[in-house]
Amino acid sequence: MTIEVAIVGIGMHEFGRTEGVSGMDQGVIAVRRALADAGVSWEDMQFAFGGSLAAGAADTMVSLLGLTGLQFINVANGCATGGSALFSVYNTIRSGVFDLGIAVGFDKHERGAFRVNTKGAGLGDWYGASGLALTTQFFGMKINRYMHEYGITNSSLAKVSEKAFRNGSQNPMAWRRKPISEQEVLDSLMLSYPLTQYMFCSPGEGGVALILCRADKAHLYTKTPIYLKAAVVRSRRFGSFEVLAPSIALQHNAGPTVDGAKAAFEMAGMGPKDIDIAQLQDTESGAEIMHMAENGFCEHGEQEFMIQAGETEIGGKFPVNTDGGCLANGEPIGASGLRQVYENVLQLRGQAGVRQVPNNPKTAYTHVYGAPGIAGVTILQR
Amino acid sequence: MSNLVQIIAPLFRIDRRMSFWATLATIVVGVALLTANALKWGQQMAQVPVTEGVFTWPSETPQLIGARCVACDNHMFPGQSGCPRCTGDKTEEVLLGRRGTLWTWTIQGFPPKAPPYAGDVDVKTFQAFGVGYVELPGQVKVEARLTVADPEKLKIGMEMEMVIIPLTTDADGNEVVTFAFAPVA
Repeated sequence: MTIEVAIVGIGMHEFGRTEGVSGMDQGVIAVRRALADAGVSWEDMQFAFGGSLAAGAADTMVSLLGLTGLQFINVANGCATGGSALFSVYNTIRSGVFDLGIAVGFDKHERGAFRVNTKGAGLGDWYGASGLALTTQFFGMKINRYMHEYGITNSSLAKVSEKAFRNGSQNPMAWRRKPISEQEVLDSLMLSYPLTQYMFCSPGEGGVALILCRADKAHLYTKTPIYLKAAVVRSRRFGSFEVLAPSIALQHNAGPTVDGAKAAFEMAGMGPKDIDIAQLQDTESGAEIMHMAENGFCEHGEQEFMIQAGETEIGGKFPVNTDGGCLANGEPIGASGLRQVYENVLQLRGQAGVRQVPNNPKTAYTHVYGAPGIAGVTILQR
Repeated sequence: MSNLVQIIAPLFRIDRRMSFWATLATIVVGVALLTANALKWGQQMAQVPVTEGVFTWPSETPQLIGARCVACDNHMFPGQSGCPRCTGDKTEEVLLGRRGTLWTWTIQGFPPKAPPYAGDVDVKTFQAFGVGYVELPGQVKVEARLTVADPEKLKIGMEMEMVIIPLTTDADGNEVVTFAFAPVA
């Protein structure tokens, strides 16, 4: 018999900038909120997976939460750190080793674009010295080529940002809560052509914790268990075009997002048409557009019509990034993927307040993408 | 090699009693001193590469130094010991072509963080620079700075050629150079 897995508790520390509160403390606050949501105590946690990129080793938070002797494993997997923690909790429960555990991710980054550690990324010093070690350049180059191939317009890039900030304005946990118009987005500083300042998300701060258990025990903790039907992490294959690459092969491969999406749909026994809402990696507005197709929700180029017609708005046919995404929430690396799952749980429970997607969504999808070419996907079902 | 020494050596013999090996040593030391002086002089006056082993320099026709998989012919840049296509573990150095077509591009509009960036990071004087991937036929697409930073002058598919550009000045007053691609006039 396959063991099913349910999410029974969610907790989040506000994203953005919280002066005087360390990244670790934001993680601890998220854990306490998740425990309260599930109606359990830290002593009930049988195991944990957690991680951050820049705010310390997650397992040291036990000295703040309580030294209960639980199995706590640190996860470090770049932008998929949160997704990898969740994947690990999911599989630990499915294996039957433990019944109840927690995934936690948090971070606190310095201001401005990510400072890339070229040595840590396996790149020569010359790469950074020459001005090539910027993740922002990759996103500019990928969407520039994509627009050339599939006819996506600057207006659609700006509309994605406009939607993100509008959704963010309805999310009390979001960092950017001021609506910004399409024209203001287009008129903001050009950072990496064709992407302007308001088309990019910023590194930030925040924490998220999720409590999971065997589905057959979920009723002990909640009236509204949300089932985790798939959790997948994939790295890149030969020929894909990825961030921080001094060269790419002539041979083309679609990349880890496409592989991750296929595997997740297979695992869940669903297809893209079965998904009601999605949180897709929007490091910048072009990424959301490209990831709509890479995850299988439309054909390449169809996004132009979908965005101009408002289909990805909260009240549209296929709502995307209902909490404002990375654009409005910022990107604390360790917490970012878990933030997407947190939002989907709220939406499936019907607890998303003014930004609640209408008509009782039943299925929800998350996707993270990041350096050095890694993707994480989850599928949730009510 | 020993034949060459036997031919040249007599020309340098001042004293006929000098042994063959002593003569050879005299030549080697002499050449080494001359080379060292020439290099020192060259560095003071001219340019140094941002790193060794990534492009040929100095050269009238500089080339990127890549690697080629001995088993499957996959080309890589920069050079590396293993092949990501066939998982083979034997590669050899290969000089990449100097011309290709622009595959995609962007413009770096703000000063990168330093470190790691070695160029100008002063917001008042920073000059935006182009960055792109250039597809070298039959080899690989390489990422590089572009000499052009005007969106109106950059087109996917245009012909590009490798050049060397100044990046910064080091503590000894040398001009540090890196590679870039320029549109073919």
